[in-house]
Amino acid sequence: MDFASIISDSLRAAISPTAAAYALGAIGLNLQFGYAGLINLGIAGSMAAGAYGLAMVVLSGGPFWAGLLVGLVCAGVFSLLVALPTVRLRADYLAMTTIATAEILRLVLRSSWARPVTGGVNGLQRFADSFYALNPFGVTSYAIGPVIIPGRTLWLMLVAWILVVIVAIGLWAIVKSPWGRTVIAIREDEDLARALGKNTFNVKVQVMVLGGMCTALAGSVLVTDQQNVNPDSFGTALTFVVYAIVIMGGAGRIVSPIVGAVLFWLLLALSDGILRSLADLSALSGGWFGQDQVGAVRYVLVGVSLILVIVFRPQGFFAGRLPHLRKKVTAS
Amino acid sequence: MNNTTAGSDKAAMRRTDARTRDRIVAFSYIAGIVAAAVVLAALNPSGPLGFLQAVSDGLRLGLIIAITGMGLSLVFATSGIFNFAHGEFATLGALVAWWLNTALGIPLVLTIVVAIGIGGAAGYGSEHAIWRPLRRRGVSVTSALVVGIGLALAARSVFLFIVGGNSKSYAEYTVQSAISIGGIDLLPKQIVSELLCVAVLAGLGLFLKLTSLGQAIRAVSDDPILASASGIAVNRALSTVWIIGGAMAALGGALLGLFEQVSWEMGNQLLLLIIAGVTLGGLGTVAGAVIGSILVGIVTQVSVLFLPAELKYMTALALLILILLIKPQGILGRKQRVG
Amino acid sequence: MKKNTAIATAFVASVALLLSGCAVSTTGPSNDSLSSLKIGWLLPQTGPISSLGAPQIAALKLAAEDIAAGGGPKISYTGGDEAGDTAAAGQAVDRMLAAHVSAIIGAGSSSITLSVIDKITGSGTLECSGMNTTPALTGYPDKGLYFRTVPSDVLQGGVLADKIKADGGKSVAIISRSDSYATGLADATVTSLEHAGVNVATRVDYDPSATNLDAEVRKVVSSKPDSIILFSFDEGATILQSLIQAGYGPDKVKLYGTDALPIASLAKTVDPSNPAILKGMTFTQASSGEGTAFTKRLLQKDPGLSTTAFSPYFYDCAVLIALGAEKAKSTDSSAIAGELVGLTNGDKKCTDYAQCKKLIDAGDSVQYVGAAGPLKFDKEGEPTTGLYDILVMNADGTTSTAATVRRTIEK
Repeated sequence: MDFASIISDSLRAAISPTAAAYALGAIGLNLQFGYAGLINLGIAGSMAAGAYGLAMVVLSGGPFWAGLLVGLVCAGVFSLLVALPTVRLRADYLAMTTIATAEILRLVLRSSWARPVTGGVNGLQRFADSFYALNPFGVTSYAIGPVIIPGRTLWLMLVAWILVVIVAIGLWAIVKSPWGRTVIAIREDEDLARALGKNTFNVKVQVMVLGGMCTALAGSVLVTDQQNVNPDSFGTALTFVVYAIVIMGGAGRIVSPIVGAVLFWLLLALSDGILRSLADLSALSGGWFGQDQVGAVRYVLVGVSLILVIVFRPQGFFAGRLPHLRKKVTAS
Repeated sequence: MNNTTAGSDKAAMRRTDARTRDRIVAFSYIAGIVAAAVVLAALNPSGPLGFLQAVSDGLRLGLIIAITGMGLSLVFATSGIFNFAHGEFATLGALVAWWLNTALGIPLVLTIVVAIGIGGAAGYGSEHAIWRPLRRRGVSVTSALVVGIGLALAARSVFLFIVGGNSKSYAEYTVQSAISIGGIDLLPKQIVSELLCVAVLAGLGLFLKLTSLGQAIRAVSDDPILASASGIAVNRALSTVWIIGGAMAALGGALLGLFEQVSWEMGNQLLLLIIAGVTLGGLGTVAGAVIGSILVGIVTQVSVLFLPAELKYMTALALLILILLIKPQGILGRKQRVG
Repeated sequence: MKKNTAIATAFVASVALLLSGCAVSTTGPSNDSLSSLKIGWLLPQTGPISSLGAPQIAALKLAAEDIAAGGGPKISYTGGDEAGDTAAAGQAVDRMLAAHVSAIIGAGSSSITLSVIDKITGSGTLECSGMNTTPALTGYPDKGLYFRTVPSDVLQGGVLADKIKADGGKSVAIISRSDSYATGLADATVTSLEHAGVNVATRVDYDPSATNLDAEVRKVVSSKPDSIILFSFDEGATILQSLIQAGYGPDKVKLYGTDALPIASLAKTVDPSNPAILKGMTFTQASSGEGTAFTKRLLQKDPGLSTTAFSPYFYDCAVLIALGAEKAKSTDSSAIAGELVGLTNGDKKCTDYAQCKKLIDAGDSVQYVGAAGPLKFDKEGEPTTGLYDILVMNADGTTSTAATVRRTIEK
């Protein structure tokens, strides 16, 4: 078992643009779910809106930064449209409807009807060239400690993590503001907040839009890394991974989702590396555990760890105060 | 003393009025949908017969969704947990039925019975091993949601590990000749499946209404605190709900395998439709789950007559949103869920 | 608050470290001695086409052996699972690029390739696939670094259309999975059918995650076609069951399918009690070289393989890359890439690595005609010619090759 390369692969995954993207998504979700208590199970939809907005603008000739802005707007509009009918629903119904809206968006984006604009099932490619043209690192690889990173990835990594820091600081400031305190008040006791004269509906919609815009950046980073926008990568699985990250990191604190994202990808790559080595070893001793089963076992581990975290450390690894969500599970 | 009695009488009357009002609203929704259906039947490109055929196909799917999703709704009603792993009971049922049928050559009907038993056992097991301890710790609704997601992921991956990624078929009842009734094609296995679903649902309804255990379950879903205070064995009620839910879902999955390929992810693929069905019918209500599921099944099939087939699930999901826009508790959802 | 500041400081420190140029720059593959060649592979070990993963890995191993035996470099593979998931594939590619491979062989799925091609070619690395057939990759701006040994489905669409016309089909219904593989093939087939003057009565694209396809099947049969084409994966078995139950089995209409269907087990899956259920159904497939020397050798080496589909194409990718390295006398991706087109269009035909290497070392211009037959790359790195088997289902559930058709793109 080549521990050195397993560890370096895991570290690479932990600081990769993917981890940064998921950190951005988790920050946005944390605002909606950790701070405001809105169970938005459709963040894959706002991520898709951001990603497609970026790709479509660049492919019709616009500059990359304009694409990012339009992506933000698209996600904001999507979140607004989702929020308006859903934020007044009870938590469970909100959860179900947000799943539905994200799936509807995905189905429309991949349909042959939308193909001229969205590329349908093939998706969109070749929109990240102008971004990578700014790359100062070239195509050579750089070594950061034990980790080797190709130059283009390094460039995106740098930009993505700087974005994470900017968004985190921005959100921290917003949360400390009177508006942010209203958000927390709504989560703790909405009726009281309303009785005190706060327009809870408006605030909740604003939270959805703001969170949605954060996830737009997440989507944009993800697709710039792959240089490909594909509708099927924005399914419910994506939403669930971001939830796993928020839960593991601990909801309710600005830094926790970032730590959660890094930890999650570190552990995922680690388990992947270990399992692969096991598969290679087993191939030498009769093949009781094949390469094709690595993927399955890895997800079993993810599922089980998630359950273990909830059971043994429900506040996550890095939470601040315990998020006191109103509804507890009933009976016995 | 007099005031209180008069007061409580008035309250009772108000409650009945509210109940009747709710029922009227609910049934007017259903009437509206039926009216829309008639219009669509007349206007669609395949003619009224094509429409009725789509409705018939949708009914079959909808009934399977109903029995599969019933456990989800019942568990939600009694313990407030929305179990995202519920679809995996269906996969379990189908895989068990398939394996016993193809690997051991046991007749399918028997393997389905075994599958139901295993589904019930799995439901009981998951309740005892996972959900009860979580409830004891007072874990929040969202955490329970995430546990369900984790469980679903783990279960799916275990299935993948064991049976592999290819989809499979039963050894019997794969191809049958359709019977034509009134111009609509019906397969024998379809008729059997639908009758079985209806029988199971009717049996469930009777169970809940007539048996003491069933009434205990209804009491718990109405108000768990009051129920346990009145001495109802809440734990027993909950265990029963999980057993029933798991068993019914396993049956649903096994029946689904008659009409589609059996695979490690079939429960997960069904989950979205189940969610749509039980939610738009009213989370936590039995009748609502049935109506909602049938509606989802029919809408999905009928939409193919008008829209590209790749968008057929979109119609069901759009219907969900539309109904919740008008009535945020779903068609038969009660205005206030306790607990 | 202390924790917060500690983390913030740590983060800023790491960024500063990065920026201060503590990085050590290492360039790409620069190992000029041709004793070894690092090649990565990205194949479907898990995911919807996982059954097609093992044969390619076996083919690549066989290629490495043949190359070494022929006096070529020792090939060390770095493998990654594309897992039917763009994120996982991207991570696997990152790993390989960090290991400085000279080339990446893969992916299996066209949509996965679309998601990693820019990353691979953008870093200056060569990519070669033996399974990507989508027309969407034709003319894709790839800096001359992407190649495929299997032809675009434009060719297979033509073969299929010709067969339908030859069988007397006048009104064709198409039912196609809605994904990058099937949609491209369906489009190509429709174009060829229209060219041949055959009417496409209806086309239904269905959601790949759909659990139930009855409504789609009804839409297809409502147009009363005389020929029906399925562009499906595993779910094709269910579609066939529905078609037969609706009275549109192979005894009533002409049924056609492609190599994405699990052909070997299809009859058994559709109806285990009646092996003749699909008798007469016709399939086209990129010639897998059934019965040719290569597949025989592969099965000898690895008898547990359930299929050998596409394996000759991947074998040829590996051999071509090694030949390119030999011709360019370098392991650099661009250098190798520059040779590949010429190696398939030269004067002297050669059929294996050892033979070609001798000719190259003697200074001749070679035309590699490998396990998949002549490739004749165009300047984009795509084969201009392809070999297709036309299979017909027998009464016992097996298929016989009715014909093998070579189709060439007209210049």
